[in-house]
Amino acid sequence: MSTLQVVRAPRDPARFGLALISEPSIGVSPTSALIQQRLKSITAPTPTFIGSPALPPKSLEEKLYDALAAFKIRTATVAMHLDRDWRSRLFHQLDSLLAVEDWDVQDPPPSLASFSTFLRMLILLRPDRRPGLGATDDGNLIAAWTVAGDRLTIECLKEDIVRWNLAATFAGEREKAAAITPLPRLADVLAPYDPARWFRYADHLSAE
Amino acid sequence: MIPRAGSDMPITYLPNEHHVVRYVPWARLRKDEDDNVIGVLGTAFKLRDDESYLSATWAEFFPGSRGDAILAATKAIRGSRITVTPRSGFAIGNVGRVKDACLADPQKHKVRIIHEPEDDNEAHTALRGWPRDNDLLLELLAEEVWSETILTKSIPA
Repeated sequence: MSTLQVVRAPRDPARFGLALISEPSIGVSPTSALIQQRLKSITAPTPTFIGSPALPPKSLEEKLYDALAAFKIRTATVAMHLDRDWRSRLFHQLDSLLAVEDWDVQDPPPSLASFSTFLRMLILLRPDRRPGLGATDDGNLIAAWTVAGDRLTIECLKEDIVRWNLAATFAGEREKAAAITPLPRLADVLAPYDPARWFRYADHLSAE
Repeated sequence: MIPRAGSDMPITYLPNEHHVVRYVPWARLRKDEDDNVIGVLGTAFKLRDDESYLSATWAEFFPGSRGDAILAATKAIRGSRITVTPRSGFAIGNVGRVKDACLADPQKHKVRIIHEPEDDNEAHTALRGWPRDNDLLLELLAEEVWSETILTKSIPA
């Protein structure tokens, strides 16, 4: 008894559908040849169908580099609202925050959505003093101002939402507050806490 | 010590006067505008979504003075699977004060601080019952309770 083994080579994806198109007969007209050629191009598989080789996953260094580049490009679109020297120092802080040699390998880089909120927050609050920068484990930027024990911490979420908390001393009493606020209202909700203590330098305050 | 359910290993709760050391990545250190480190951010004590407890290292698991024990704890962390980066730091907290601060919060978090050794860190400690969404409490811990910070670059390798 013999065993019949049928070996089927994998079908060439580029040949799918071509069986429906018969070869032209000898002496075919130029128009028919053109139609034949176009039919072949219609039946040719798309690059997706053929299956382009998957791109290798990006390294952490590439992800951080891409994030930094995206942040700087986004900042350039609103450059007119930020003092050149101030902006340059902010870039230096971003370079430092996202330095690959200090980045926690478990963390994703901060998202562009969070950075956009961060940027709009700076334009709305117009602080003289830049915040210290940090990041959460889920891709949000943190802006932190700390002056003589008074702390203001703002986590920038996507779509112009901020999660903030503060601890500050008023007339010898320690007060704390926290909330999640739409960005356009942030200045209003911080106003009772005298935010100039964080945003302005002392010499600016005395001049006002 | 209390026997652990389903195990011969006893549960060891850390004594109140002892200390826990937590690794703090560069992005979770509180900095000023010139990148000078001035403490830790509250988010340094935030659980990741896939974590059910907060990890730290028991300082007094190691012999010697308080300073020796803390130094040994940082070395244990550096020798573990955690990648300790050059500009990172370590936050040191007193066990009793951490528990008290959590319990004093309006949400009254009853935190248990338990020695749970791991293959790569014999002094590993789990803080169970840790608050998941309480930014004010985490900031309080960062500011007043678990606030002593030492930088990696200041510790001899």
